Amino acid sequence: MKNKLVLMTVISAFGFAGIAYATPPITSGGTLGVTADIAGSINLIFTTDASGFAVTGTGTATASLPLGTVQMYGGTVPTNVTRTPNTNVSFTLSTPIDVEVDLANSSSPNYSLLGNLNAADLVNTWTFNAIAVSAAGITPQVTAGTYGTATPYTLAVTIPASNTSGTLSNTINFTASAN
Amino acid sequence: MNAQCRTLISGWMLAPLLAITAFGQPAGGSRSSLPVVPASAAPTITILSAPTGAMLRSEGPGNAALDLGKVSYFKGATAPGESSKRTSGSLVISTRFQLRVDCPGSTPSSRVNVSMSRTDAAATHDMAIDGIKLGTAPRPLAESIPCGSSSEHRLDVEVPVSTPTGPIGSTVAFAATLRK
Repeated sequence: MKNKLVLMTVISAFGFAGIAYATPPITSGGTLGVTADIAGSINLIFTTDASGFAVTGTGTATASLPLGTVQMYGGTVPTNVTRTPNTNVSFTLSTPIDVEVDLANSSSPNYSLLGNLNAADLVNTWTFNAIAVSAAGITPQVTAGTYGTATPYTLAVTIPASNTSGTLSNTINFTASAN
Repeated sequence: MNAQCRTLISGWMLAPLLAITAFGQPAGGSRSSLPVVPASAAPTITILSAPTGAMLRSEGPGNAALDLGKVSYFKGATAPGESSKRTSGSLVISTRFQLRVDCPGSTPSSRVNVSMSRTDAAATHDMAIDGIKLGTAPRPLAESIPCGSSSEHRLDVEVPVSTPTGPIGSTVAFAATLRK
């Protein structure tokens, strides 16, 4: 009987100890709510095509094609530029240029690309992807472009034999739109 | 003899129950014969804007809200106190905030552990604090920090390019536990 009493005493002691260690931790909380509004976006870059004239600013959205001195007959045709003469009337200079449009946070299936001349040109004729580029900029040059792929398009300018201005300079402003 | 022993044993068995009852009474109660241990109140968490971080809106004790505003992959984040970085497949928006923990009723040397978790599992974005990715299971943010101290942390929200246009939202839960 004494043994049982001792055993119960020990058990009770452990019971007290258990109570002491079972005290729940003192905890409190706080929250930080985080919100954002995700907007879809697209990005356009020009790159030098493998068969094209070297684009200044390749890999960016601001590119230029400094063709140098060109002429209808003779002379040196710039590297990777094709000169197509139209005897006694005009000549056309053309080169492929790569355009890549990337898409994020949008389900748009493809894009349109519209180019317009920064300054109206009543002498020379500009085309991109075989579609006229004018200052009015009404007809898209690309209507269902594929996102995420550098696609070559031909940029061409036709200079009439009657053009005696000596210089040719203009800017095409391209606008890519998600369809 | 047997009956006497049973009484003794029953008395010892009741002792823990009496003790439990006694500990459950208010400190000012009539059981003055038992030692009274002053109870520490729960720590309090305060979430604040960091000097270089985005503006947080307080939403009552322990709660705050952060609106990162309009963000886009190619334009990034534009709100003051935010920065953004593009990876090949996602945009990471970062900002900083402060966390203050107070322990009313505790000794000056008291310390707390702070854990954090995310209350949702939305796949539209990932979140990390100080580089530790948040999940629904609590993870330690700070161990054994002094009561009354403030700490600054970096919050990263990563939005994949596949996330559709529109609002996203999550709640980060913090828990401060007083160390014994």
